Amino acid sequence: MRKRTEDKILAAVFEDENLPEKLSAAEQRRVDEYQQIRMTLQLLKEVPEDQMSKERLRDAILNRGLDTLPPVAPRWRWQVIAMPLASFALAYLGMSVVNSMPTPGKGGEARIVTAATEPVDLLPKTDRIVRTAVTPEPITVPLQRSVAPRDTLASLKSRTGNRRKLAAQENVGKVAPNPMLLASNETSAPINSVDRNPSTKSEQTGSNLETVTLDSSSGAMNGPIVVIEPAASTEEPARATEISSGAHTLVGG
Amino acid sequence: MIEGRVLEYGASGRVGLSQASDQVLVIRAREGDYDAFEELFGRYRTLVYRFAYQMTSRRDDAEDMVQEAFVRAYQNLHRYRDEAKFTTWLLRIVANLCTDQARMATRRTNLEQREAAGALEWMTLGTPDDPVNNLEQDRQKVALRKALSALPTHHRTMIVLRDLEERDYPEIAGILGCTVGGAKLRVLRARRALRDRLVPLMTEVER
Repeated sequence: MRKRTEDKILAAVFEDENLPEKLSAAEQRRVDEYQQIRMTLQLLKEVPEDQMSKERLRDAILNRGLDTLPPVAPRWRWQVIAMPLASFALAYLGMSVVNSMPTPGKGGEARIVTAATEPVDLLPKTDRIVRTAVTPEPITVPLQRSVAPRDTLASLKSRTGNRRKLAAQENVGKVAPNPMLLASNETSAPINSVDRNPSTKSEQTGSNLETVTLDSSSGAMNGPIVVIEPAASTEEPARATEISSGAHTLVGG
Repeated sequence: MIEGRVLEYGASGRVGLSQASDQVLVIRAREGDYDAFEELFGRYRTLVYRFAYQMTSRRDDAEDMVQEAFVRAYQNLHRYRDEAKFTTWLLRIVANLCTDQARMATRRTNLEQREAAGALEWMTLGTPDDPVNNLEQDRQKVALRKALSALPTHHRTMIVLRDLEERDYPEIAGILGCTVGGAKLRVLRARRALRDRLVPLMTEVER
């Protein structure tokens, strides 16, 4: 008998499918065999009652079950690991986005604007002269650490509250560095005192700039100084004159 | 989850457990509620016992196998995944146990036990209602049982699952971890193997 035919007979008998119409004697005998097997299998479905009990199972589990049972993992444990990873990933993503943005210094997509006409010099000639005259040599002045006078504290006390007073007391004796005044040990142009009067304009506006009063009468300015004379008219340019000593020079308006 | 909360606030814990689904019971058993696991045992112990009995043909062995299956299930509840039915997972454990037991059985000789069992079967054949007819049926049953026991475990598993326990093919595929087509093919081969073993025994019985 062909295997395929036998498979069809098997499926027909056990799966209740249709039998082939024409069957040979051998095939019919095989059908009978399988039907008998199926009927006998139905008899085997009867199963005697079990005598299992919950107590027996409980004993078995207690004897060897509990020691191998793994502890129940808390559900938040993965979050402890996942949250730092997620925050790190977000921070990394943010950094990469920021780095990928075009910056003017790096070029990239920054627009280059070109002037359509010739560039116009908007600055007056006097300013150009002042810049060229002043920038080459910064004034180097030694800073003397000084204690603010008691008058200053008194005026602070009368004007402001305790907070500002305390802040001022903390700042006593400290001189904020002025970017325009470069302190050096070489005493080329000593300054007598640093005016820390709070009534000055710079103090009132809250800025850190200090006004430096150069006492010309004491002959403090011995270094070179540039005197700028403003332009008398539009046709005549301003003049800048360098003086070797500022002893007899009056600074101010 | 909602069902679990209902269970928590139920007036009677046992009533709540009997109404809970397998999924909820498994979750509660995982969290240490042994009553939930006992409820699962009460629901499916007959199913497991039937399968084990058909595989071993002995009540004591079947009961031992049921006990072992539930102990293993309790130990490995954390490995149970929700995508499969609990019964499918449980029957897979029993099928693996049967395979293990068959391997062990080949190593030891239990001829004496078989002889004793055969003698007992001969003494208990037939019933008082229709002795002749029942005797014939019982002989066929004995022959079929012998043929079934002589089958390799993988063939026996297929016959028991499909023809005795009448499980559908997708569930058999889930228990065995194969495709539905593969399950059908295995059942076909198992039936053919059973027939090859049974026909000589039946002719012997007819003589």
